[in-house]
Order: sequence, then C-alpha cells, then structure tokens
Amino acid sequence: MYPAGSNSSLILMSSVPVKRGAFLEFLVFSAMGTFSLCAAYFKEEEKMMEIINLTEANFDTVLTTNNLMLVDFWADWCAPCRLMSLVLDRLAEQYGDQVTMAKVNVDQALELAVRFHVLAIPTVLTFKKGKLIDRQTGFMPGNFYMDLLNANLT
Amino acid sequence: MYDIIVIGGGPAGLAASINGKNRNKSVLLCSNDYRDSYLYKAARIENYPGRPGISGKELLEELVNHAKKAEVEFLQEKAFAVISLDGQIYVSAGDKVENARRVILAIGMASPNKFPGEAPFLGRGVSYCATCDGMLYRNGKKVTVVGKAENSVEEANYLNEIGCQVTFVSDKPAFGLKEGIESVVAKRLEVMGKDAVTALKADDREIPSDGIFILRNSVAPSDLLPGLELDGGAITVNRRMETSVPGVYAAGDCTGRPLQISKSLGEGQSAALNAAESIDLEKKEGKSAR
Ligand SMILES: Cc1cc2nc3c(=O)[nH]c(=O)nc-3n(C[C@H](O)[C@H](O)[C@H](O)COP(=O)(O)OP(=O)(O)OC[C@H]3O[C@@H](n4cnc5c(N)ncnc54)[C@H](O)[C@@H]3O)c2cc1C
Repeated sequence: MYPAGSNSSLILMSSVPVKRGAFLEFLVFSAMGTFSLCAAYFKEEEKMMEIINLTEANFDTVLTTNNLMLVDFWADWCAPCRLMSLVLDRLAEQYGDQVTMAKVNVDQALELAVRFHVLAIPTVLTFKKGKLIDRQTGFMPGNFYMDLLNANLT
Repeated sequence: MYDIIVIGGGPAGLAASINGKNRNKSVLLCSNDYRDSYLYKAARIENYPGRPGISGKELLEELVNHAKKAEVEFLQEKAFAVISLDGQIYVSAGDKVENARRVILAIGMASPNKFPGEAPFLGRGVSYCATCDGMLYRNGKKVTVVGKAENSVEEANYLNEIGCQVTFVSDKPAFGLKEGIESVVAKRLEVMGKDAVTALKADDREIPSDGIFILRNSVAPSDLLPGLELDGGAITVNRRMETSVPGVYAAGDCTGRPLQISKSLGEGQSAALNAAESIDLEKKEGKSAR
C-alpha cells in the first residue's frame, strides 16, 4: 500500500521530456491484480513537443522567457500525480507552443517546492508573464485548465 | 483495463459488483475495509424483505462472501481521484492507478464536515493522503495526523517510519501506535497558520505542526471527481443511474434519500446492468462512451 522504491507503472512519469503527439495510446494491463503497467505509445509522424523538467538551476530563466506556463509539482510515489500527468499530456497536445508545460519533481528540486509552499502534490501553478495567476492542489480535470488557459492566452 | 470499476464496498457497491460479474464483465471493487459501510453499524434490520431481524454485520458479510464467490476482484484502498479521458475512466487509489470502461460510484453518504481552517490550508500543510505527501515531511518535520478512518493508525505509523515526527489526534484513544508517536484525544479541531500551516488547535491545546494529515474514510464526491453534478450533496443520476460524467454511474446512499439497504442494492444492480449493456453496445458498434 505504500510506495515501493521503484515502480514499473511509472514509465509515463519518468520520461520527461517526452515526445508526444496528437494521438496517445495508453496500454494498461494488470498482472495478477497486483499492479498495473502503464506504457505510452506514440505515433511517429507527430511533431516533437517537450514538457520541460524544471530544477532550481533553470526555473527562473524558463519562467521569464515564457508567456503562459503550467508547472506541475509531482513525485513518482504519488498516484494522483499520474492522473495529473495524463491530463497535462493532453493539454500539451492541444495547446502546442501557445502554452509551456513544465514539471517539478519534488524529490529532485525540493527547494522549488519549499519556495512555493508546495506541501501536497499534485499541485499545479500557472504563471503568466512570470506572475503566479493560479494555484491548484489536488487533481483537477482538463476542462478546468482549458478554461484557465483560454482566458489567459493573449 | 477492467470493464467496470466499482468504488465503495457497501450494499450498493457489492450488488453492482455481483451483477457486473453476472453479465460476464471484469469487475474491480475498490473500497475501504468493508466494515466501514454504514450497514455494519446497523444492529438489527427489520425492513429488509425476507430477512426480518438480521444484523447489518451478518448481511454485509453475506454480501461480501457472495461477491468473493462471484470472483469480483477486491482492492482495499481509498480512491482519491477519478477522471474520464478518451472514453476511459481512470481511478487513482492508494499508490495505484487503474482504468476501466465504466465506473460506478457507490461511496455512501460522504459527510466530511471540514474543520475550520482546513480548506484554506489545503496544499499548504493540510493533506488528505499520507502516501502522496508524507515524503515531503520525511526529514524530521512535525506532522499531526487526524485519525478518522480505520487505517489511520497504520498511516501514522508509516509517517513515523519514513522519519516524520508524528502526533496522533483522534476523538477516542488510539491503539497500535508505534513508540514515539504521541496520542492526543480531542473533539474540537482547528487548523492554524499564516502562509502555511503552523499548528493544529485540539480543544485547548495547540500542537505545533508543519503538516496536518486529515485522514477520513470518505472523499467528497466533488473532490473525487471535480465537475460531477450534485444536488444538495447527493450525486445527480437519471433512471439508468448515469451521472453527469459519461461512463460514470452512481448508486446507493450517495445518490440521495431514502438512505436504505434495499434501495442501495437495487440501484447498485441497476447501475451495473446498464453499465454492462452500454459496454456491450459499445463493443458491437466499436465506439467509445464519449
Ligand atoms: C446505525 C444504522 C442503522 C441502519 N439501519 C437500517 C435499516 O434498518 N434498514 C435500512 O434499510 N437501512 C438502514 N441503515 C442505512 C443503510 O446502512 C445504508 O442505506 C446503506 O448501508 C447504504 O449503502 P451504500 O452501499 O450506498 O453505502 P455504505 O454502506 O455507506 O458503503 C459505502 C462504502 O464505500 C466506502 N467508500 C467511500 N468513499 C470511498 C472512496 N473514496 N474509496 C473507497 N471506498 C470508499 C465506505 O468506506 C463504505 O465502505 C442504517 C444505517 C445505520 C448507520
């Protein structure tokens, strides 16, 4: 019931930056009912899109050079974070280069979590022109973020 | 992927699971301990047709055994979040993510009356998930656990094991806590803080806290599946037990009054049969729920 050190169902989360496209297929199967393995398959001809992995070293540069940015704080021991990640992937497809999608692995960049008082994950911070405009803790569905992004695209 | 994931193992969820299996569907029943069901608390039931005087415990155990015989798969975890994506429904429970063609919510009457200060500090020290957020406090941080669920002691022990400094608060004395965890009995609770949580006020005492884990049996339907249509706290359903989210059904106490066993069993059955029918239709037509 508690996170095992490494978990095979985390392929999805660990492949940052990821190559993604208009069509994502998630193959999920369970073995012996004890765990599920989630692997992402990507179509070939799609354009390459990146979800930026933020660290203390690159955070401020990325923040100031991007207009609209979603930052997802996650860790591989957090199951709801995996749902959040599925949603973020879809949003990245949908918005392309209009919105920058970024992730902070709180295990690797604890200082960023501390800086933004992130004490529960998933937490998604939305920045516009470097300013924090929205903060959500816990899982929120895609259409919530679509409304938020649409209202802030220009 | 399962055909159906049922969330909640009371009469509604068990009836849904059994009927799903009867229709040859693969079923995962994701629930807290079955003893968390309201039914377990009913000493003597007089209005369950055919079995006057049966105890809630006995009836529930018969239902659980029936579900086991029907080869329903059990996952004893609390579900935290449900999403619908590309015609599939994903459920995160404990440290797992499972998915299905249809989901049936049979979560009973969720009544999480939030404590003062709880909502504003969610994510700034208040957390509902030890498995998700415990690690953020592992370096000797002061963590207060508010134990409201069967397995809260277990979760408090886990937080202690990963290196948190744990205080356990409950309304009755707690048993089974590891050495080094202080147990506090208190009734009135309030979350205190400024930018982030600083303390839990427990009756007249302030317990300094970097984090407060409030562990309940239930997750409010609006937290479990944001966007789900509700009517005064009850999940809105139609005659087919379909909710406002395609592919998601609801049954039992969570859909509103009357809060009764037979009504819950019947709705669970109805939800499962309609879910099974729509899966069959979808397979025949080769299209998804959306
Ligand atoms: C003292 C008492 C006496 C009663 N007497 C009668 C009576 O005589 N006759 C009668 O008809 N009815 C009676 N009832 C009411 C009856 O018990 C309920 O109507 C019935 O149990 C509702 O069934 P349910 O499956 O909808 O919900 P519940 O039985 O409440 O079961 C819901 C289950 O889902 C679980 N759950 C909730 N959220 C989650 C989640 N997020 N993840 C995983 N699991 C979750 C819960 O822990 C619980 O196990 C009585 C109730 C009580 C408390």
